[in-house]
Amino acid sequence: MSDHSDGLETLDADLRDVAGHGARHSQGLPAAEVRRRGSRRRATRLAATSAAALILVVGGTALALGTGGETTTAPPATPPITGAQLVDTFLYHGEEEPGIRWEAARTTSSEDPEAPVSVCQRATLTSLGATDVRVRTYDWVLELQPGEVDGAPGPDPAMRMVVARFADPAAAAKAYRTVGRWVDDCAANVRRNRDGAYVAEPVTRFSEVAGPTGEGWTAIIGYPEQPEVDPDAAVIDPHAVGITADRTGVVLVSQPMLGQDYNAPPAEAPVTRMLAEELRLLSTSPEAR
Amino acid sequence: MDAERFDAFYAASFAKLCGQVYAMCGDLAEAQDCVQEAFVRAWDHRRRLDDTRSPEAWVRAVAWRLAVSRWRRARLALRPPDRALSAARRVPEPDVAHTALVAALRQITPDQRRAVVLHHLCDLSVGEVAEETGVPVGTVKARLSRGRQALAALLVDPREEQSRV
Repeated sequence: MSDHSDGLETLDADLRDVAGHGARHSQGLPAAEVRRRGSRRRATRLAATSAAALILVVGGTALALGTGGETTTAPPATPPITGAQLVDTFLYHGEEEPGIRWEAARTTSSEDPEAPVSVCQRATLTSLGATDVRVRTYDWVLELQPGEVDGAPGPDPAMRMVVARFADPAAAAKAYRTVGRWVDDCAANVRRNRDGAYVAEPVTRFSEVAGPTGEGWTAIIGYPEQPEVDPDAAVIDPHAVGITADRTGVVLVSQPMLGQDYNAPPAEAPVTRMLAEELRLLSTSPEAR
Repeated sequence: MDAERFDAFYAASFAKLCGQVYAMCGDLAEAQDCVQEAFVRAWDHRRRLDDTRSPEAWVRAVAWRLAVSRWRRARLALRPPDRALSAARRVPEPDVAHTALVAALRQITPDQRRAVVLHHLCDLSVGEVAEETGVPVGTVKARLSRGRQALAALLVDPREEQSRV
């Protein structure tokens, strides 16, 4: 393409020599590892904030978890919540990401105010009057084939679920409204949490859940990831907020991920399914299991 | 784009793109890291990639933006210590002419360098360069012209210059 007389007649060929040198001495990862990292990237979020969250606020006086955590001994005024009443695996698009699953890994009995489980959260549920709280973490697990090695650096994505119990239905209902406002107003909160670096898109309602075990709604929250690198990529952070049918339990779900779009139909979206399943589990008597 | 097609695309394009981005940024290790990360993002965005006329151009553009972002972070001394912790790559020494061209490319502006490489190495037309870089055709022409002028001045053989005096 050089048709100038500026002494660069061999520029095309010289550039090819340079590029050829680079091409000959480049070493890439195996394609399967590249795909695995891409899938991990989609499932994870920026390290500055924790991953997906499910927050439950449940009326009553005591809470006990069996799976992955300790059991409280306070005498319950209502049947205690057991580990079996918590979703044990996040209902992710497993069919789209073969070899990847979510696994309930840890359950703790307190909230860390410095690490809220949702980017929308402005306070702990304990500070809203919850009498007992549990936080469950789900780990992102690769199902490696024999001979495969997971060489991706950095922490794996994780999701978290919070369950809180309130002493009376009025307190739980108030917490439900408060958590709902956090999600509705999340754009301002994202901006604040990210030190002005990100401006969230307006929060849009996505789907509704209504049934004999409770009701609720979901919303999509999005904010740019690294706009100077990939203007189309964003953290997409679906949330769900719900309350149990006895008007004492509240649910908040969050599933942050990186991507450009959110393809799940509203009724089949992971957060919608997660909310409906958690409301169902909470409405089931532990003794019935 | 399914896994099979992606793997074929990756196998066919990785080395070539490393070479092109190396010419753009002048650092082979940096180019390789950026192209690798761009392919990771390509799999993440594989649905979007299906709609792209040239997946290779998409990966190259993302790799370039990653490189620019790294420069900015390096300038701010905020770069993560990943390179410092990894084993140094051993690459054979290139020849003198190659070294001179890389050194000259490093001294022209990044925008000029990108335009020169896309036009003269990747064989993109001025219009295609404009499309990939997101600037008007006139801007591309100006970058190419000024980039060539700057390269010509930088690459002049000292012996030739001496003989002109």
